[in-house]
Amino acid sequence: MIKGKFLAYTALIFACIIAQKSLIPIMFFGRRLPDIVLMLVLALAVIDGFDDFLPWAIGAGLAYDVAVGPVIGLHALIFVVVVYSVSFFSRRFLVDMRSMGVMTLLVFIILATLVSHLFVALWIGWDSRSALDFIGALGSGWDFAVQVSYDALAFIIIFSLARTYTKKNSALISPK
Amino acid sequence: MGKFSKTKLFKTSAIVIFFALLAVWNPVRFFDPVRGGFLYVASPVQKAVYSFSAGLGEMRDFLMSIGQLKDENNDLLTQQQLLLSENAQLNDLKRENDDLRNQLGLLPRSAYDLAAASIIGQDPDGLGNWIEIDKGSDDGIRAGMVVVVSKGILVGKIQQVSATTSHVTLLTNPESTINVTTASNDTHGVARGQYGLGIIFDMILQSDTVSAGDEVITSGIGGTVPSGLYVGTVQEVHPSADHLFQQATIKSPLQISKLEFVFVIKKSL
Repeated sequence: MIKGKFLAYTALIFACIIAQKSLIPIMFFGRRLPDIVLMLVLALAVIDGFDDFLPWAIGAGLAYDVAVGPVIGLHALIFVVVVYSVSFFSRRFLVDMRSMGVMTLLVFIILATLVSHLFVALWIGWDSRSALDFIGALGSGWDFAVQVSYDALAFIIIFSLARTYTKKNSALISPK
Repeated sequence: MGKFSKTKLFKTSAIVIFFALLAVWNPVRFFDPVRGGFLYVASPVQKAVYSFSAGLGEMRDFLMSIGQLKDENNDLLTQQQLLLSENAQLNDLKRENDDLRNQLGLLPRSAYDLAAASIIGQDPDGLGNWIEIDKGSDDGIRAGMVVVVSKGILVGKIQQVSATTSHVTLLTNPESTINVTTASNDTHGVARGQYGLGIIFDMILQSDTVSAGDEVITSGIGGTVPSGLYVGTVQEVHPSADHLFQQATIKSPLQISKLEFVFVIKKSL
């Protein structure tokens, strides 16, 4: 069971990184693209929880940074913050996975997109020592809205698939 | 303290601080072997996925453009006629140019050692700043080499190289700075990338003339990029923020998302 989960998560993360580099930029127009790696991390963080998923978030972030470059550590940092935020807000509002509604998930998507957006823009501004580049990388409110829409679409698909997979595996362990 | 150190906040803060320091320090060389290994495994998969998605993209573009095809066809026919006559004049000029260059002992313009490469990935953050190609150090590619399409349109420069792949920094990347000039009246300046704005033609002297529609080419100053490579067309001209120079925005003829192949200039022959 653990081996199956390890292989499944590794394959999923690898596939999403490849798709993010080689499929998504071709299929979508404009400055903003869906961030399917981020949405995968968010979906699995919601399903698995902080303690179980934290090592995976770090691994996924490092793999993404190695694959994409040029800076190692940026996406690992982003994914860890996203995982913690999911845990924090779930506890804060006493929400568990079974009772999470659409609004809660939408809040998580917006939060994750904002965190990623902000840290990438901060890095760009820091790297070029230019506030203009930071502002340029942030983009407009419309850019952000488009990004959230794309990410929400990606999240729905990934979350549904991941939840079906985890339900199936739970049934295998304890069939009724 | 012991209890606090076991909390999620402490764990998260410690990890975030560690990775923030790592990102600032950015020991790229240390991770190069890991990156090389990952890209060695991933690049054949990326190539297949990229080809597949390019095909899907073409199908999508075709379906979206069906309504515009008739108008576009008429425009293209008119353009073709203009280009045929222009071509005839250019052939004549080329003959004259070749004769003169022979007399001066200069190399022909098309004398480059070109390595064809397929694009296998792009900037996933959507900022359009780099592409990944399927040639690396094993194929004689080195950082700093120039990348073109159609033998004359500048795409960018090689920035990072692994054994089997390379990252090409595009002209829209803020780290890209190329010495350029206008083809018509030899106005010199620098083409820089800028987030959200594309390519800026900067450091144009106030006394120089530049207008919308002027074609911008590389000047060859500095020796890192050959001269005569097409960069784009001037869109609009305005004074720089400090009013010491003029600035213009350049529209590139390239649609990076539609490119599948590029050429790396390995050396001038």
